[in-house]
Amino acid sequence: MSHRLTSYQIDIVMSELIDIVGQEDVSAAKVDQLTYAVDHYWVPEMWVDRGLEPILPDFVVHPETPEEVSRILQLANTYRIPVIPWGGGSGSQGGTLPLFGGITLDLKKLNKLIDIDEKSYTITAQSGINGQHLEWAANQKGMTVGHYPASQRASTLGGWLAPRGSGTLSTKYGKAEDIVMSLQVVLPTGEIIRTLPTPNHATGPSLLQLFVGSEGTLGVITEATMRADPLPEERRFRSFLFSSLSEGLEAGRRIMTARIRPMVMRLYDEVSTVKQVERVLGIKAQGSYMVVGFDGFNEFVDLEESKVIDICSALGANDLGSEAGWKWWNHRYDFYYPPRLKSLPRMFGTTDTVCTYSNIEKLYQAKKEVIENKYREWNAYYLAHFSHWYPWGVMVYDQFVIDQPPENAHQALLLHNQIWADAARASMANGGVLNEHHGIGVKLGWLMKEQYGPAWKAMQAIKDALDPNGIMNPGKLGFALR
Amino acid sequence: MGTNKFQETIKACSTCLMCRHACTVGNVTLNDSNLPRGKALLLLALQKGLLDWDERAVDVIYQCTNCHLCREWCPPGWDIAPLMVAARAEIVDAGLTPQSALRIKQNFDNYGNPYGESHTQLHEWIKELSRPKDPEVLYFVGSTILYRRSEIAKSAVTIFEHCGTRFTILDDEPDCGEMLYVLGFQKEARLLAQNTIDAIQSSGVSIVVSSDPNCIETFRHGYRQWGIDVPDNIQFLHISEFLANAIDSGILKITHPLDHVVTYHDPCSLGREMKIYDAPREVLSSIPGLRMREMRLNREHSLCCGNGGGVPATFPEIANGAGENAGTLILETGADVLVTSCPSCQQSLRKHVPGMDVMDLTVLVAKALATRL
Repeated sequence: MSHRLTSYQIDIVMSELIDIVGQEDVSAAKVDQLTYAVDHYWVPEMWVDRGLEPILPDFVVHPETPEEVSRILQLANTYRIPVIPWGGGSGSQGGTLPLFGGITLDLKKLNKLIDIDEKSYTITAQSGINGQHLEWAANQKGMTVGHYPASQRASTLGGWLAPRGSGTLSTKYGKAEDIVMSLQVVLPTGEIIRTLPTPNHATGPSLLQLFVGSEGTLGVITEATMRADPLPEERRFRSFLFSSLSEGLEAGRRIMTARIRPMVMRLYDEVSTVKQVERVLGIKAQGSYMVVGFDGFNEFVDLEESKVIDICSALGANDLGSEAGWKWWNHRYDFYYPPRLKSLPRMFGTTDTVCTYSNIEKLYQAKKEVIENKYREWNAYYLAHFSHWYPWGVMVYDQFVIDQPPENAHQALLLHNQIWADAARASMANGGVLNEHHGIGVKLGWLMKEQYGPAWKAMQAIKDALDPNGIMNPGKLGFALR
Repeated sequence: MGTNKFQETIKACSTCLMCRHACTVGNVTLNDSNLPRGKALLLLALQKGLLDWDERAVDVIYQCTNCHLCREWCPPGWDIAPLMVAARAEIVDAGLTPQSALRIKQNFDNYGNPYGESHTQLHEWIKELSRPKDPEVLYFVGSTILYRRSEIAKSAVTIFEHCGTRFTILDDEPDCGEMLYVLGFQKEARLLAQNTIDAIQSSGVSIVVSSDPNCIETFRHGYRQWGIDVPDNIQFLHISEFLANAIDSGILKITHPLDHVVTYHDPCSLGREMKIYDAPREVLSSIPGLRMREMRLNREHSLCCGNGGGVPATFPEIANGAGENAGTLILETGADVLVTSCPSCQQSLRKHVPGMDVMDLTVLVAKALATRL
């Protein structure tokens, strides 16, 4: 699995791919190889910035049906060619890097909206459908998929599911793994299968959840049925300023453990409150800023808002009213566009994790300390906000930033990987996990054995059983190469 | 080199995918190389020595309708279209122009228009028009109307006559040059532009009106960007602006009712380029009996018909695909008439809205005036 094809083999495989999908849907042109060699991971972007060629796929292929996907995987098994599924290419973990060349499988031509069940509030679509287009289709029927990642306009349905992604409103509407009902998957050996029609059942272990989060290593997701929700009667926001992060975290805990269901809560640590909130929203703030959003029937919104105001006031928060919250909502994606989007030459990473309420403060402090103390010579700084809340805990969306990393690409990469390992280990040592909603990809794959311990044997066994030739996205999720 | 002026755009767009949902060509090909990010990454890779120009790379640069939808959905307003125009000029200078674009240039060389056609019946009809010695308005027909949509010009004449406007039309009207420029033939476009602005000036008018927003945008903004002097004492108006002004001042009263449910398509060059969204709607609302239904994506978010950026000539299948995508949205409205105010849009969209009549605003107003067509 670590060899490159000879030029003759490339021609043979090209002929077979053309036979499957047609000439228009296969490319070995350098432009296309380059496009599909760079996703949203810092490393390939850094390589291009430094004038280094990223690792290129041999072919970029655009199948239009699950049957074509099946034939391509069968071909790949015959020639032991890696296959890398590609949705929107907006992932930040290097999940789509063609580490060993092979076939990048762009799934966006599988983009049909198949069904909207207005009685059951479910939506079925092929996995290549654009996230925004899917949401618009739902909106036309008075529904929402309820999944609003920052990448909604860039990503695909399959791309939401493959890494177990999260949206801005996941606190109420759930993560991708909570919203999905069932899947159609093409197994690595080419069989086209479906999981059970409902996600809740007592019919054996969940085959559905095996594939959700598999990041293209266990097969290709070609279709998904998602739960939908009615568009709310009202949306409302309120923001608060706490004197410190501790009070804010406690407020969030009390809100969630009281089983109040805000659609969103975003709590910024003291550094983020100054750096981002003031700069972007024009609100001068010292302390820990929180915005809370509510949606649903007017009466529910009234009640939830009043309960939240009570909880926050009891912890000494300043009530900043609703205007600031609406301003945040209307500009919530501004951070993701250049020049506000963090970009090269800076080095940065989102080391998000999740843990229980009992652990979150010490986890946050541990990560902040390791980034800011161990990497002081690089003037590393650490920002965090807490944006996805659970009945039992909260996720921290934290980032490290180094404004002037090493110019040498190899040194930069080594430093990058070292910081990531330290941040990830701080998470794991304090009750957290390697990642909460961006996925593992290549970036964190090498830490998966450490994360799972003895349980990793079970994970690798599943991979080996489903993908005996190891063709599916090799080098990702930490699976051994075959 | 022209693309060097756009370094910030290249840097911004080469790492950002946030306009994927809106990219006209990206939504047809579903290929990431066609997104603004793919295009910017291509140019970045060329600068870094990671790529050389080849046929596919050239094709990607020409696969852009210059619709500005990317800019419209981008809060900071990055726009890939001017970068593409600059890149095409570099491609032409390097002798790598695609054959399809060279054919258009040959049409201009041989016939003075992108269609490669000689005079039409409309040219003869124009010559027969009575024109005053001291016109106040020049109606600039534009090549698309001259060679493809003669009814629009005839309707404009009907309107001017109804309003009592002292108007003229140029015999042997030269092309505005916009198509040449966007295909990368900037030197040739400038020569043609100088000739055209001279012809306009010679007419002695103070107002130029056209039903073709591509021409008006080129006169208003494009020529100065190309380095052509445009007299300050000439006002360039799209017909929708002329009509809205005439209605507001009471010169034009539309009394004949039209029993239609219409929807309106905002052309890229009228809407996103010149920000003219209200004037056509004001005109439509002044026609008795007309019921207007807005499309789900309208005004600055209106979908591109696919006929911009030279794409119908260079990649007709992409233009067709974009028209089909726009048509799907139009058909959602359930209207029986599609009104647009761009002849290029009409040429595209009429193929993709089965069961609907497609009419230019000029023609609709003339119909409402219930006089001769």
